[in-house]
Amino acid sequence: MEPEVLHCSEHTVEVVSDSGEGAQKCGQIFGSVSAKMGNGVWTVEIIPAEIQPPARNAAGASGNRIRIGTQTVTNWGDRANVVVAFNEQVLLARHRLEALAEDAVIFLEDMWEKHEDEKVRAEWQAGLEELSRARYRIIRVPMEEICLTVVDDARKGKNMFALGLLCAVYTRDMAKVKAQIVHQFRSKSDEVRERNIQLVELGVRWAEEHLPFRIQVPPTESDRPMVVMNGNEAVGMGAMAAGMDYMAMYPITPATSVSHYLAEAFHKAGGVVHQAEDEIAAVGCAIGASFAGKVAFTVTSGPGLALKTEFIGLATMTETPLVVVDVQRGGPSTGLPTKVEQADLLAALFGQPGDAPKVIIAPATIEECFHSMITARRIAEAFRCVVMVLTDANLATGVQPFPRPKLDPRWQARQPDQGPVPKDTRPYEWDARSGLSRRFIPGQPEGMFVATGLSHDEASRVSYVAATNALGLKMRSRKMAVLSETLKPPEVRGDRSGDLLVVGWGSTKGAIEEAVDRARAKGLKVSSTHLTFLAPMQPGLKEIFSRFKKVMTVEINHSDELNDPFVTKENRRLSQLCWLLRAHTLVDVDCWSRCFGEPLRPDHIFGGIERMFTKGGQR
Amino acid sequence: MQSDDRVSRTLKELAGPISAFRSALASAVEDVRGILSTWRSAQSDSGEQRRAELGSFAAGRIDAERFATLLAVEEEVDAATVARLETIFDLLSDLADQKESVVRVKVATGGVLRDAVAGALARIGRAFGAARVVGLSRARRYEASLHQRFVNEYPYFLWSSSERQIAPPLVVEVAGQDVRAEALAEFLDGRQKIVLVVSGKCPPAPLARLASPGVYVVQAAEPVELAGFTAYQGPGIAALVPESAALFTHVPRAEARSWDRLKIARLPQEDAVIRLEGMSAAWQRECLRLLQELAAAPPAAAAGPSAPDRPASAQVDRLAAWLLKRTDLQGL
Repeated sequence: MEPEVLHCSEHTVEVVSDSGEGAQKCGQIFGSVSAKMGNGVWTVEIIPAEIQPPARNAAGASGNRIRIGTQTVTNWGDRANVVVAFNEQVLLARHRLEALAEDAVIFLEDMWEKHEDEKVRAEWQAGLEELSRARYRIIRVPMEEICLTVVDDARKGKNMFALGLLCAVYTRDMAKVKAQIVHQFRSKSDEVRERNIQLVELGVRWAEEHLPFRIQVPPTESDRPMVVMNGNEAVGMGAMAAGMDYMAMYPITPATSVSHYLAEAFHKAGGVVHQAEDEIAAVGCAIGASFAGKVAFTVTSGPGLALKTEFIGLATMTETPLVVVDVQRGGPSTGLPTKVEQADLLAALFGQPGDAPKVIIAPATIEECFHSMITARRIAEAFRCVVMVLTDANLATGVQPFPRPKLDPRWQARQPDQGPVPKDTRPYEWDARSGLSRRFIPGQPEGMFVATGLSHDEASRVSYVAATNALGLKMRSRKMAVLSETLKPPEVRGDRSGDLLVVGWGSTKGAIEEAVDRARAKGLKVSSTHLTFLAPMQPGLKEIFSRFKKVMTVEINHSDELNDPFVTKENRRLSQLCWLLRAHTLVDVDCWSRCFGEPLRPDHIFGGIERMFTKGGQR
Repeated sequence: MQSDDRVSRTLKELAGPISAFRSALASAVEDVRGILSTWRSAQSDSGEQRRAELGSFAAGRIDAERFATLLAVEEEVDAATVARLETIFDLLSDLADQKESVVRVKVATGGVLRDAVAGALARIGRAFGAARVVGLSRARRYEASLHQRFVNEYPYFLWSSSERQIAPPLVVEVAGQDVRAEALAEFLDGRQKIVLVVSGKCPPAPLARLASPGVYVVQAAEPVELAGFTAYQGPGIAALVPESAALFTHVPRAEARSWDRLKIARLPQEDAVIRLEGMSAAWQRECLRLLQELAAAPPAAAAGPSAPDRPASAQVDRLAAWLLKRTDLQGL
């Protein structure tokens, strides 16, 4: 009998297992194949905070969510429609987080029912009882039993079996699946690759023999060549495209994979990845390289940013161009290394003691992770300043297809000027209006000077005269005003005026826009705008805000709830962009923020929007 | 001197490294084309130039015209620099168009082999010189009095270590009587390969004196025997010799002694050696003897570690004991 075909414009899949069982690899391959077939894709890794958590533990759930669509997909969606779970405990974890759709189809490994350990059997029974209260359609799959026909250790095979099962359900192009497996396991032997393909074929066969349905999410043919990558790879590739050929870093989750990518790419194309002895040394090396004329940058995450604080001040003081990429994670302190937050904004802006003006930009998509590096380099060099690029764990590990960038030699055209310096020109000969000055490179004829982090005059001579320090502060700050002069107001999505304007930044863009679209479809007068330049801020915000009755930021960082004990309107701590906007515009901006360690879901944001329209709202 | 088919067969054997150089040359041409186009457009429209430099992330967010006006303090490229780059573009394009002929050299009978090779490398080196001038121009450090000569001729002694790594192989047709190969030692660096296609009577071991530890040296009868030589990631010299000459291969290997590296396949009789133009028979025989001596393992070679090793290790022990004493860690 022909299987029933369910046609959808988008669908969300999750693969979850214990850590080390390869669910992430399964999800990555499924996502990549879908993207290569022409589907819109957004993937999010589900990563436990521990490196090797105990098996069959809800807190140790590891895997991937893959949302695929006929059109572009901009966020991870609300709930999973199809789940492959390798045990009931990891499934329960997702169930308790309300990550599954009410009518989700769940493929569940059934080996635990007859497990030799009585405790495991009891957990299985209890777990299934809890799950039975929902309306899921649970399909038991003997994954272990089938995989053992090919491999000795089924823990090393179930992920490929699951991939085959999903590929059959979603009718993926098997030639592309096999090619992706060959690519993914390119460093392994032919035997390993062939065994993985065999396991995929077993999964396909099982689905063909047992499942009476298929799900069709038709791809759209693109007229432009596309690339598929995650945000960290995009940052690395963007850095290369921008002509950056020196990266100094110290490993830190979730930023490290930028260096993995670049180490491989620089090996072929030329360039240096310098793994320094610590975060401070890394930023110091990047500053030194830039001072010497290289196009250098450093990459880090929250705790690393804290360690780099003083040196970022040094780059500001010496006016050494520097790009710092901060892949934000949950904090404070070491916090939640593998989970997303947007909580470094204020630290990035105000982290340095003393006044250290710098540029902060935040890409909103994986494509923008690539292109933001080009802009960051240009601004850093033109203004002799620090440019911080704030991405986050959601962008870093998420995978999305986007049009292949057409490399432009002009991205790298401008080189440090090493020509002879006109006699008597000083290294900080600030233009009185703009604060801009010519950058000197060591070795430049007539350009020798002693750089210092101490207060200095235009000739870089240490000066403890307060007026000299005041002039330096003024000139470094003036550059931000000059850059601000070149910025354009942000675009407003939706009506140009209304009841509520939702303001976001960074990776939340897709989820916010989807939520706002839903609200507008329900007749609410809501629009949104997304800020890319956080410092200096894009102009015109006050005027835009004035067209709306209420303005609310949506962010992944902490803000107090007004109904919580002791929290009043006066002492309430707000989310980070909210603080900034209030200070910048003097508008009574409100906020809705959550930091559950996962990306925001459109339906949660929609709930926040609806609440603003009710009497019990936070305003 | 007539060209023989060994030259074309040798070029075929060396196709890999030749094509690597040619593709580096082609990408240099494209790079310069890109820079030129950038500079030309910068001269005509600085707003468009800034827009491109800022990338698409800035589109709709930064006013490129305003950016250009405010940053007018940054110097633009002058016409002389653009003209210089145009000359370089022509030079590189010309070198790229020469295809295989750029790596072929013919030494006229009676000519000086060393000078012919030096001249050919200096001509090829113009590609490297041109790249340097491009870099200097982009950094505004170009000075005609110092740097103009780089594009006219860029002799081997000026090549940097990285340039010596991507140097193309050279195929040199030379008469046997002119093979003064020892004079080529100065060119055996980086990954430079030189193949001498020898015609007529020649000394029996013209390359023997070049068999130093890191240099691949081979005297062969046919180009097909050059596979190992081509694949070697270091400097090398080969000679395709007539029947009267020795056949041998010297393959550099870490830790190996000369007799492990050198294998002789054919050795002519010493008394068959005759005087050639400017090369005495005695001198040629001396080369042949040197070759034999390098290839012969001394009887003691197989006897294991030699006696002097023991005192060396004793010295190390003494040094370690002294260090422990100094750091008060004795007895741990």
